[in-house]
Amino acid sequence: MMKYSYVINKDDYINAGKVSSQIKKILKELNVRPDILRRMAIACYEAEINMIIHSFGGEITLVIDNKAEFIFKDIGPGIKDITLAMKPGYSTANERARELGFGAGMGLVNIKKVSDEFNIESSTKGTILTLRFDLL
Amino acid sequence: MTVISYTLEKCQKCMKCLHSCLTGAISLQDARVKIDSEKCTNCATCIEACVYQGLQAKGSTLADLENYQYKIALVSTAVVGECCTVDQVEELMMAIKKLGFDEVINLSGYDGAMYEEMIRYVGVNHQQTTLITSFCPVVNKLIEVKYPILLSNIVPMDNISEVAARSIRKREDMPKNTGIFLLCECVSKLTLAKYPYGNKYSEIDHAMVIADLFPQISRNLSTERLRSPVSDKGLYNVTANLYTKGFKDKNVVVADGLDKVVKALELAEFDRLKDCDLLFLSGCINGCIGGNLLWGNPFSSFNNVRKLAKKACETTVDISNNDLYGVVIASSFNEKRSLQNRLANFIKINEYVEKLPGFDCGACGFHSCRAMAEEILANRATLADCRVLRSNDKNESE
Repeated sequence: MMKYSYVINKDDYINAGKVSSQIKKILKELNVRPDILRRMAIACYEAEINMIIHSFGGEITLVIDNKAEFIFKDIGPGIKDITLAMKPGYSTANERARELGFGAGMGLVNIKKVSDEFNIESSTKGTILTLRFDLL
Repeated sequence: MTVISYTLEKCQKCMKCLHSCLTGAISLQDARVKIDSEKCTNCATCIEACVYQGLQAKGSTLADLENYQYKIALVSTAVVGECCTVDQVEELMMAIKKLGFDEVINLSGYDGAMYEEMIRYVGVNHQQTTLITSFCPVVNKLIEVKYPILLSNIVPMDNISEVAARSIRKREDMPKNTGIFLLCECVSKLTLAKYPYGNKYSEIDHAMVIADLFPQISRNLSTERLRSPVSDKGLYNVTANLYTKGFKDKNVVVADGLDKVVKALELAEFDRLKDCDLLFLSGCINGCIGGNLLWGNPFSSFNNVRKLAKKACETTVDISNNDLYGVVIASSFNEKRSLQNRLANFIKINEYVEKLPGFDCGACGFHSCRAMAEEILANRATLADCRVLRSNDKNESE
């Protein structure tokens, strides 16, 4: 089993995508099949950006065993209405994020589409997004 | 397959080649530079980095013409970019013919046909994904080695010189024992040839370095001309700054030079370029006209091409669209080890990586601490081969 953890800071646009790049590098070193790798890279990137834009910060954990499991855990403020957040095009991204080209409202929808398992729990104390990918 | 040859006597073991390599294909083992041909993209960065001329790409020579009765020279469109008028192009073609060829064909008409087909292809397929051009063998290999996610984004068009050679070979009036010679502007295109590089599938017999021929070409130059139409679209196909011209309502992003190419590929892997229909990727600056085997430079060539394109003709070579496609990348994903095996191996490598200093200094002869860790695991090196660890030990004992 392998486990990696990375800290994500709120509004850290400058480093946006760096954790996903590191994770992508690890997955390449493991020689994960390209089509699976593609889905994992997209999901990880979208979720990392979501955390930077919407949360107060948190942590990304990657566990690789028989499967790959991503856990995106932040410290709030939580998603008010998950059903609404899962609707294509719905976005609460602020002006600054949109100016930078983020926040088109496809994040969660895309993530769910490319993951093999998708689970999200949210309260005002934080959101936990768990994604699983079959590696075979 | 790498076309880069190494001369031990010239090598000063300075490691500049090792540090310059984008794919970590170079190592120094037993006091010799080794190039891993599975990783080498033939981008020639190491050749440029070597100040002792220890690394070189050699092509076939004019002596090889003797083995054929009928000799055809295919001149890369980028070579035409060394001229700024059609007259100059025709004088250049005559000078090349005088080297001993029976026929000289500049490839701009073929490049033009490919350019037109690319416009059509993007028009039909643009909504599916960010497409990537395939004319640069360096980029194709780089994607294969480092960005396998994007393999399926490459438009599967064959290299233009190969397309041309194939179609010329099929000509009905083709004499027996015809030799097709490609006059190349870059190192990676040398790999296409049968001799001396052993690409048995190629219809190109020999590839030559255009700069090597320049002294003779320049002696042969006169006002005598050989008719050789230049296609404007062919020029667009090899020039980064002109490439977007024909793609009216499509979003084409141009990345020329390996730094930009890498940046674009990194973004494309995260699907961050989805608003872009086509990525024009060229390992050389300004496109093929920046090829490192030309005698000019990418910037004045661009000025030449811009002038030349205004006077060039609009017609292209008549070739069926199907003939433009081919296999761009030979290998597909090939992993025989089980996931558990790979994981176990990875964990062991990481154990060594953590013991190594992580400076990627290359002093051990490998391009990174990770590469060194892989060698240790394979019993081809030991931790004691790390110079940084050794000097730390020394300092501590003192």
